[in-house]
Amino acid sequence: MILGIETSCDDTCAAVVTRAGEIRSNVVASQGLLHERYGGVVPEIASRRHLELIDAVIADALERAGASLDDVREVAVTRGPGLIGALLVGLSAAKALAAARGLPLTPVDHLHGHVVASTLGPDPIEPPYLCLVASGGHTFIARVDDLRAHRRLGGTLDDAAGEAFDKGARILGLGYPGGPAIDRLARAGDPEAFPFPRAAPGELDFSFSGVKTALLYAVRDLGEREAERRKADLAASYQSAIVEALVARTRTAVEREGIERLAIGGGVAANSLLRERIAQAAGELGLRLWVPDFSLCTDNAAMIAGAARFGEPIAHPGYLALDAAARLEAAA
Amino acid sequence: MRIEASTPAETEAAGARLARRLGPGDVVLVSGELGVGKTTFVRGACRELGVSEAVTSPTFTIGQVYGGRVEVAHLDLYRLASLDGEDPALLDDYLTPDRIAFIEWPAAAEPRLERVRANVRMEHLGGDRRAIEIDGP
Amino acid sequence: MNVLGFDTSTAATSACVLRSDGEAFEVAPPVEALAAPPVHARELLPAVARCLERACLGFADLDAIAVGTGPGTFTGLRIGIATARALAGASGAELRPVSSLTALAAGIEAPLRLALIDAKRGELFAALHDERGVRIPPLAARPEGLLERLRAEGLLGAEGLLAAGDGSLRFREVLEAAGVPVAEPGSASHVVRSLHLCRLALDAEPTPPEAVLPDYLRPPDAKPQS
Repeated sequence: MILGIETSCDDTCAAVVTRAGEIRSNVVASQGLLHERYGGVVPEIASRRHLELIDAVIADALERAGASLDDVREVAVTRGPGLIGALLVGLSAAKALAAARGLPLTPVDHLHGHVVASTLGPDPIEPPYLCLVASGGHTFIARVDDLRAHRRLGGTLDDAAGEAFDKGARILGLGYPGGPAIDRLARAGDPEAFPFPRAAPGELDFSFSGVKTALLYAVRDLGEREAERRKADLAASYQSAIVEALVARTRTAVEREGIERLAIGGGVAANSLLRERIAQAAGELGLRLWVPDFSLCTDNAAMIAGAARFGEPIAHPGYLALDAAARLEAAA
Repeated sequence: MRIEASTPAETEAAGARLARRLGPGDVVLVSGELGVGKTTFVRGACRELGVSEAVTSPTFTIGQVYGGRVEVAHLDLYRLASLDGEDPALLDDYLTPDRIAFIEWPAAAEPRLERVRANVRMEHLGGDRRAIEIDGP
Repeated sequence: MNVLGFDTSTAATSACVLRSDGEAFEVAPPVEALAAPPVHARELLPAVARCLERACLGFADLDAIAVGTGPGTFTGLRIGIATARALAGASGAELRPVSSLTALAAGIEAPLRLALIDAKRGELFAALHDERGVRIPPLAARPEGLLERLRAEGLLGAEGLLAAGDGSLRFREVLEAAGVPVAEPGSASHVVRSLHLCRLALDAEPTPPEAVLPDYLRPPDAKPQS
């Protein structure tokens, strides 16, 4: 069994996954409510909470898997990218656990975890496939020919999609995190009320800076009262602009690469409009689509343990000096 | 110096022009509203400094370091209302004497920043037009 | 009792194994390490492994793990404590937290020992120990505030007073001008040595892992919005 540990942002996560890809447990202690009060993740608070929770979360993951540390054959941990202080809590715990038991340790690229999340469970996706990853910190399309690595075909040139949702929510005076807030409000609005731009920088790249500015101008031009009255229309139009950009780029990638399997991942994959539109596009293009369970889209350790199955474990004591990395070189 | 830019390319060019006058240890503050093009400005400066990797908003990670002819630190303090409760070493991790640093949304850190070489203020002028006010070398 | 101890409260990473026969195997970093960028994640476990190897012990042979709980660099403390808790959990050893300031004070050779750790942003973490024990418990203050406190206690210029630690190096001039002597710049007493940590741990209480947390001495006072 592989014990996975993930603390790259504000969720303290541990999971137990078998070599065959069966998820025995997947525990997430979310700090969401805590950070909601601050309008975003506060690194110092996130790091403090990780340290308070990490041992209990690992113990819980083992207990729910009906296992003990004696059953663990390998430890997998997120090495980056993410908040450096947060990453270091999980990495330190993982290295120490593995060292004390002489176990191998596999450092995992958080983004690769998202890319291969659909390989977990009873109906695993197999390469070659494309994956759209959209989260609070990242937005990119990757091609997977071999589960050990992914190749980035395109990505955002400025903000990540989740970040665009957060900043848009802030402009609209909604809470944090912005994605769910906009998703909820948009259901009551007209997505075509405002013609927000869908920037098209490069064939497979994204840019969400323009739509953010357009929203800001729209709110300003409407004036406070009118903007408040048309909030749902603004949210729906804004969400639609972001989602349509994600879907259009994914379509282009699928057509260009000629691949018939598509997966999505990352926290933004929980957005209901994105799920609907990507499923529609997959239907039109005759693709098979993998949309992982919500618990595998947001940050989690099962995807980290899952990715470790395809990685290269470092034997004890080769990893003792391993450091975290806030930013990893883009996967080749 | 005040510049008007009407395309992202012009914003990048303004960043590049400033970058030519910077040296290791310099800190540049870049402020302005959401979507005004702060990251675009920093990208232009990074290209000029020999950074070839993607320069994207570091809001999520707070900061990132790029390798160029000189190392470039790119910070975004958007999510930090105040640095008082942060690890006092948070900025030290990025602002070192051998790097050039760009800080978006610097308000939270401004009172305690040293070596500020330039202050860049960006403003929406409607449509795609931007005013870029550079107070520095 | 075999004790493993380590401290990551300053930029210097120190570790030590104090074997049951009383022999110590220590990795004591040079004073220069206090001024270098901290790399605890890279240094800590290799230092621990070296101490164990030299003591011919494995993790399973450890009875207690002592960890410096600060105050000091927040990220460093979290690396040290996350490591200590996981090692204890996986090896069955008990966990014994020790104040990094107390361990620092234990290395100062004077009757009135002023332990000073650089708190950044122009502040110091300080504690004063005398022959009987803690005289001024850990506090965070600007140098002027600390000097004020020492003056109030009649300690400025007092015989037998000596300060050490990276905080004393940073504010050497201010301190000496006010009548607080600072240990020589190259003195090993500026480093929080894990040998002292291990010795202090012999008398410390075992603590449940979840209760071992850094002594931040400063709250995360980011202001909630609205």
